[in-house]
Amino acid sequence: MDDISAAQSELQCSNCAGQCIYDPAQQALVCTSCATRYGLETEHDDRAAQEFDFDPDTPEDDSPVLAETRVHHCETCGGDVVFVGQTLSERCAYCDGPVVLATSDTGYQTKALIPFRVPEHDAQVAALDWVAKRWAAPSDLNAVVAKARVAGLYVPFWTFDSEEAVNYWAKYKIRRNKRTVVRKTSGALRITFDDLLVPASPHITPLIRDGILHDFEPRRLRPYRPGYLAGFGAERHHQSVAEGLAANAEDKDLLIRNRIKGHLGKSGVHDVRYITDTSGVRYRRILLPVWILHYQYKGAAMKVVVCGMQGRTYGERPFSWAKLTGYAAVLSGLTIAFGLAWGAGGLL
Amino acid sequence: MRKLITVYEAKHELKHGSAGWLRSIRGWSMVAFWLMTTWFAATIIGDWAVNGDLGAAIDRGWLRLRILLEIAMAIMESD
Ligand SMILES: [Zn+2]
Ligand SMILES: [Zn+2]
Repeated sequence: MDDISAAQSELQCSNCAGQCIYDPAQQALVCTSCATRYGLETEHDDRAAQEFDFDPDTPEDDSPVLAETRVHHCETCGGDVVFVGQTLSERCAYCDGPVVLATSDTGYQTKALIPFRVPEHDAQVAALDWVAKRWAAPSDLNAVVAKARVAGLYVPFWTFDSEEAVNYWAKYKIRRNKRTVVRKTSGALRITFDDLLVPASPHITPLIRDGILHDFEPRRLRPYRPGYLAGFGAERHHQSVAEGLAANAEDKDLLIRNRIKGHLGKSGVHDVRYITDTSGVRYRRILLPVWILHYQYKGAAMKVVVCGMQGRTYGERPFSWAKLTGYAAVLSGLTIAFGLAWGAGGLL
Repeated sequence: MRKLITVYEAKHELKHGSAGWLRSIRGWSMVAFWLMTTWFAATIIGDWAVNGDLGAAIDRGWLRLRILLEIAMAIMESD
């Protein structure tokens, strides 16, 4: 996506001069006219999983570069989507917002990506299945979602490694002769974070990340090549490493607090304070494949996201207040009946 | 009720131990509190309906309430 002409020659079929697109099922570029298959493997494929050191005290030598590309800037989700050899539309395929077209984009160079493995049809089925399995969903939801289509997108992600030397102070409660006593405690622990995935795109929230990305396999990373993007949209990286780390600060804080609670192994832990000495920060700027199905329900924009690697699905869904009330009534009814019987039976 | 479904979905679909998972299951104790309160009120009414003496029914309820509060404390601390 950094050089349109280079991309165009890679995407032109040498057999019939037709256009090639990346086929997830065949894991290769395939000509749309004569179906000739072109493998994208290189001898450097194993280098794609390489990580880069980050030193907060020295300026980042990696600087953003201006590239000539066809870019959709979405006014709703703020995303900038680059297309390699694909037709353009006026709506953002990922949130349905209006888009403006630009011919250049300043972003960071992406060095690695994981190619799509889940074909469009499977992703569409997975998205519809996910919606069909929701509890207390409005009855017309399936019909609304069935009209929408998934769109493939390479989303920028960070992977972060770090070593944390944590010192903490906390309070916990113990029961002493039927009274609750608050005790103070402190301690230290080391935490190693390995390949924390942080979305660098407005299209993927941390919650959706946790729904679709359970396992991350660095060995599936491939060096960046325009051929992998043919037929899909892609977003470029726009964050500096410091910005990426800042975006992950809140999640990291939550994970560290959870580890501290686990380390204490006591009940009633509260007022946790800690300081951490972070070292050995390493990162990767990568693209991960997702299928996004965007739909509107009663004016609210929602999306269901299917992981393009394993097909795990998660998303946003509306609730039916009538059904929620109904379920709550049944549950309350059972609880009340049980309570009445208990009281009437003279137990305890 | 909505919290119950959110917790159920989080348990089955979100990566265990991830930040999103931790956020989703936080607050599950509200579901338990609500059920316990409803149940407790019903036991008093059930007792009252059978024995016809509200005051005595409430007196008998005290012990039950004590046990429920113990359980509630334990739940709150593990949430
Ligand atoms: Zn061809
Ligand atoms: Zn958008």
